[in-house]
Amino acid sequence: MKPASRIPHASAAATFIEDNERTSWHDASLWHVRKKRDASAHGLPEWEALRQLASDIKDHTLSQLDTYLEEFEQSATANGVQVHWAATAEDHNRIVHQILAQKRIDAIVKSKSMLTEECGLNPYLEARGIEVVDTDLGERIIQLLEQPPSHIVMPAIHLRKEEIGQLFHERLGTEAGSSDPQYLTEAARQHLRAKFLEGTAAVTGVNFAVAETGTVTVCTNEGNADMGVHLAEVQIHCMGIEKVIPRWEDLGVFTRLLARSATGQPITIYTSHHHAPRPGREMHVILVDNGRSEHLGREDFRNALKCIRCGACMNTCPVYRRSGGHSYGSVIPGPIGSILTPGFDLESSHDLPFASTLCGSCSDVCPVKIDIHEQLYKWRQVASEAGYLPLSKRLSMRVGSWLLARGQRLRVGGALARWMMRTLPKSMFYNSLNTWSNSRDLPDAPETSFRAWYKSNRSNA
Amino acid sequence: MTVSLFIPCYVDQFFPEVGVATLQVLERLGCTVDFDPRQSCCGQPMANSGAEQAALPVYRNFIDVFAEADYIVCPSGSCVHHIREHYDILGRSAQGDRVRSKTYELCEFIVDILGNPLLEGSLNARVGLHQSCHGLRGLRLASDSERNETPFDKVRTVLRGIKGLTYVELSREDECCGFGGTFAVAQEALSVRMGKDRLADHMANGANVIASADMSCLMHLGGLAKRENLGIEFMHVAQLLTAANPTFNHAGESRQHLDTAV
Amino acid sequence: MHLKHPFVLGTKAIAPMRKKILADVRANKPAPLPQPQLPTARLVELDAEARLAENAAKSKSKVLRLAVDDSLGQVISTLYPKEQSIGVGEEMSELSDATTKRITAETSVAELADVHLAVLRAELAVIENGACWVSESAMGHRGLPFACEHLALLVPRRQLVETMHEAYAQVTPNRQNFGVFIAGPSKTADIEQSLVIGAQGPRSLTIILTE
Repeated sequence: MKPASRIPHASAAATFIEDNERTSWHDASLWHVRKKRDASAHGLPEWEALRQLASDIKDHTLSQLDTYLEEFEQSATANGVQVHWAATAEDHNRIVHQILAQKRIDAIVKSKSMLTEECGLNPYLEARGIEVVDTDLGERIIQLLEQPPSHIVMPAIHLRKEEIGQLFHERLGTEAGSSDPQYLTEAARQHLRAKFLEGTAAVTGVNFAVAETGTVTVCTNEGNADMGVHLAEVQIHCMGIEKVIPRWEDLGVFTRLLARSATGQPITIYTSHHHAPRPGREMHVILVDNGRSEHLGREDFRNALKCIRCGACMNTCPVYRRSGGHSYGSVIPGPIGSILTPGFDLESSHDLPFASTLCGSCSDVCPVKIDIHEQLYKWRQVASEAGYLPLSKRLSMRVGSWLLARGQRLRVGGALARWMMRTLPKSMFYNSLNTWSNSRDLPDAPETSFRAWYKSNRSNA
Repeated sequence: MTVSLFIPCYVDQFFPEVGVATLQVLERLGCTVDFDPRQSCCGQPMANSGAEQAALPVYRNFIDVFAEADYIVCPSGSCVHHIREHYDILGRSAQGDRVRSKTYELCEFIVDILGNPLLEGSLNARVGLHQSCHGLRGLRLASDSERNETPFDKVRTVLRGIKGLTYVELSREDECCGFGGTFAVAQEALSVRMGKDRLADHMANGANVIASADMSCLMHLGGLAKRENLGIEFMHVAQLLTAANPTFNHAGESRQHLDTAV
Repeated sequence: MHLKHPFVLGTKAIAPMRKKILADVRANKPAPLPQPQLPTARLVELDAEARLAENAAKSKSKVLRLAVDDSLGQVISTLYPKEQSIGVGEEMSELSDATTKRITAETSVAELADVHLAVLRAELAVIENGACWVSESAMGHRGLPFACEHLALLVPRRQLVETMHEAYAQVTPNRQNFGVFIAGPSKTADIEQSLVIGAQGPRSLTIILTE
């Protein structure tokens, strides 16, 4: 699913920030989640060793990905699961549709899956007359609002409870003006329970797929994935090929890291392990490539495939917190989105690696030690070489580079600039053409540079 | 020990007093300090904008200028991080590798190479210490709030001899100031908002001086503070050291006298 | 085991995609990197039950001890006096009366939805996070632990382990079965980060440590 034409992140962020109070609220909400992660991480003495272990398992897996995918297929098939391979998003959607069409299913429940979001499954099925109900509370809220998720773990984090209260009043018949989360959640519970009890087909994502045993592991707090799957005739689990892990015991590492990184809780309420369909029913797993094998070949960027979709990078990112997920215009926003999306579609996302100060906080919270901020830097070079830097920028870089390649040039150019700043009217430098000056004073322009001072006071020349 | 100073281009031109303070501190610590006027810039502004290739002549100038240096010391974590981490596109060379490995940020040089001497002084200041991201997470000058590691801080270590200096406790101890190089203008709204949030944190916790080992952060925060008339002072770590000890300000070299030096 | 014939899309269409994906992965994968050694298992340390209770409380679960001469039936009716319909997933001699229903894979969805309290056996509990492993054989119907209004899990007190590493070492995956770690009542914080218990699944979890 590609956004047709995006507003550049800088503009979207500027718009978001105009609402000062809302920005403070959004920033504080996400910072709070970051702090909960910190408390959890600092409470486990072996935290950094665990991160390294997870990183190493993922590195190893990617280096043998074909073998592990084949092993998973073999294990799952032996358990009675039907394993499908989808080269593209379109293939994935077709496969899901045909599984449903074969059983004449016209309504499904779906639990959280960024992969299905990536493939645009919902609109695909709806266009073919299949009702899709997203059952994760946050996902259901944004589904009713016809918005994309703004965060991969907390899809409705950008919404105030009053807005949700208004939505539920209109769509679920709750009391007007009521915004109590308990009351609203109860209403959603009853509404979604009815859908689960219809029990035809359930689609879920996959947190980890174990090659050794064919286990499909799904982690939730609400239990909605299980409510859907265990009451359904057909269960379909959709995953990117990078979600496979080698052994059952590797789950010990990832289940200790995932929830702590995502929300600070020691584990999700439910960690479900699906192996085989219920007697008389069907279980399907769809392995999706959709650009991942290509990304695997990118030496500088393949590490992004280690991602376990915890969202910690979003929670810590000072830019994400103050601009919101929607300002990225990509399926996956935030730091990880800014290094994955350009591999997928550079044309529509070339500005995302620049939506960052390269502060490095993301890399230090990533449970699998993806070098996110280094990849952001490298994508900038790729974007520039592909011709995405505007002409004015390219020219100023050339000029800057010439000027700064010799001490002599810096000396002369710098002295001239300072002279102009001291001599010419202030309005030459404090105007709308000089963006810096909108909210910040320029530094004072001293008469003597350091190099001039050194020459006068220290050098023997 | 001979130390070759590398002064960031914008510090050379706009904050020369930081360069002077850096030199004075190193001399006080017994180093013979030189400054090669052929030096220019580390190339980071271009590279961070994506124009790494355009910055190559700037990189080469750095390597050439400092080819014979024993130690290259720079009062900027940002420049040093760039030189050590991003000059690999020059390709490996004995000279290049050597120069890069000899390039140090000021605080890490004092702590790790000079044997962590005590720099005594006294300065009454409530300091909000701003850990620049490149220094902190790039050069690991201190433990950050993200990782679970034994706390350490080379910046505070360098400043430990200053009596009367207290640190304010910030609500977010190491969040980015929002400068980010060209981000400061390309994403102006975000940059300003991030900077204002940092300033608010320092002010709310009673800082009267915001100090850092990186002038770029201070230039950004200082510019915002000045526009808002916040009345807060901004000092580089080297300036804290020289301000704390009057013997640093010998004739002709004090901050106040800088502009009249011949 | 019910294996459906590969459906409409057909092996003809699937096989080339499978082949292509694997070929692309093979062509692009990096040089082999070693599989790391996982940490050795930890023995259970002191104050296991107290620590379990502390961590379980973080997920809003309650932990109680069932002494040898306590009757499970009495404990249950003290905890859940209002609950009329109790569902169990396997034979439980301690709880057999008119109100206790034996739930099986054949139980209808409507009957399942009617269960107020499900009492199930768990194989172990993890001290670091309060999670209990429940395997399908204890559930009767896979949906029972999720569809009930309240859940009580019986955990043998000598089956406590320190972390998930030890838990996964102890649980052998039954590849015909479903298994789940349950760490608390169902919850969400999707509305302005306000914690709400009983989001979609059970509204409470009580872990009962048995002899």
